[in-house]
Amino acid sequence: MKLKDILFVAITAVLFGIVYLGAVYMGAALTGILTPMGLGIYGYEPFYGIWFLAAVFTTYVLQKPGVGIIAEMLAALLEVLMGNFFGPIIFISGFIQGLGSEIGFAVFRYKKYSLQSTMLAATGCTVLSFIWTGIRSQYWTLSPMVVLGIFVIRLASALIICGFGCKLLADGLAKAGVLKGYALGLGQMTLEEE
Amino acid sequence: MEKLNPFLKGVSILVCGLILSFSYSVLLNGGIIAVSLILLLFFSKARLTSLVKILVPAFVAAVSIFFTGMMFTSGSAIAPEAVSKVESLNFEVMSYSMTSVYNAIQLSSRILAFAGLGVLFAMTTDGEEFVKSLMHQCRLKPKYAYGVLAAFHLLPCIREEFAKAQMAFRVRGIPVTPFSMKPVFAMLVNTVHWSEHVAMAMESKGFDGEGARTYYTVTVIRWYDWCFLAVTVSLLVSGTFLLPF
Repeated sequence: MKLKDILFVAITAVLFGIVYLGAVYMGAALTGILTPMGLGIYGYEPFYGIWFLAAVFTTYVLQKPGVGIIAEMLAALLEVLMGNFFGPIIFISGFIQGLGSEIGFAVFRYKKYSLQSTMLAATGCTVLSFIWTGIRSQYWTLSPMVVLGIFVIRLASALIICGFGCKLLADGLAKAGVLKGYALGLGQMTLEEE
Repeated sequence: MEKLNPFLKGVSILVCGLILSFSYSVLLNGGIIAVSLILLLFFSKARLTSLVKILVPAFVAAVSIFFTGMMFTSGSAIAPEAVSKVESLNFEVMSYSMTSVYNAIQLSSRILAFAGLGVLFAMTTDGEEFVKSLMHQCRLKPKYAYGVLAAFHLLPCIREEFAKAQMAFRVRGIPVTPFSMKPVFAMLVNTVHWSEHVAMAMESKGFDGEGARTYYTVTVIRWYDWCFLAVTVSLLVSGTFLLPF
């Protein structure tokens, strides 16, 4: 990766970090509301797609293998710098989510960058992160319906926020002409010239 | 705590977190919470007010997961032989609710233990030091390290840019709520421009991500860093095997 790409990834990670911070507040509020019903565990799930944004968005724009993992690791590093209370363990979560996104894009051998591939990447992130949080918070001790609910909400959130959102956002940016220096913007430019 | 090498401290806490992910003991969780609080309060310069502030969301999460555990503990988590031997309904209900309470305590203390470890790192580590130490001890390439630092220090500018974008929309008479996407998009367009500009600026100043370079400060690993790693990990491993529940 060139320095330009790294800075692009790092700055998007910072931006999504801000969005993520907002999501944490909303998630905490929602957790508070749901707690008396015993459903507080769902509080953060509707916003889970935001965690995957960095990986899917940057891979979609830069269109190179390995970008997703690097993006999530840099995002994790930035979160540690901003003082996330989970500390260094989020490097692991970041790596796992990045890997999930990589799997999604690898299905098309990093050749195809469309809504299908972003959706697949979002699904990959969801499945892997679900396994990881499952191990960390012992999902098997909870009743299966609650756990299934977690998975469904998380998947829906990932598909909407990450699958659709990334594509919309990136295409919008490419149309605005700011991505000329990156693979996505280049591809769209040559299309228009033809 | 501040004097420890950030990278090795990070590794120790990461390894502890990993071991903790696969061990299920309430006592161990309690022990970790206690130790990290003691280290924070007596062996670091962390301020009490900021400590409380950072722990509030963790506490909220722990309480909520406690209630989830209470109400939705899976039936299969209960040892059936303990229940089936007796006919008494009272005993059955009691053992079921005991398991629920135990599971709830276990789940919530786990969250707090993870948070304790994380806060122990976050409150005692300077971000810049951590990146430097990643560069020197973990062989992180300077282009990644300085790229991340550049982006991190752009944070105030990005906030300002966002406020400006919101203001620009208001001036034009377009109502702006905290959830409207248009200013976010405007901000994104500008900041993506920056990433190119910052890269150009760094390269024009002679920054070369690959070659050898000299550093103003070099972080080093001392003997007590290895001690910290050895002590924390061995304590946790022995705790996993020795503590029964």
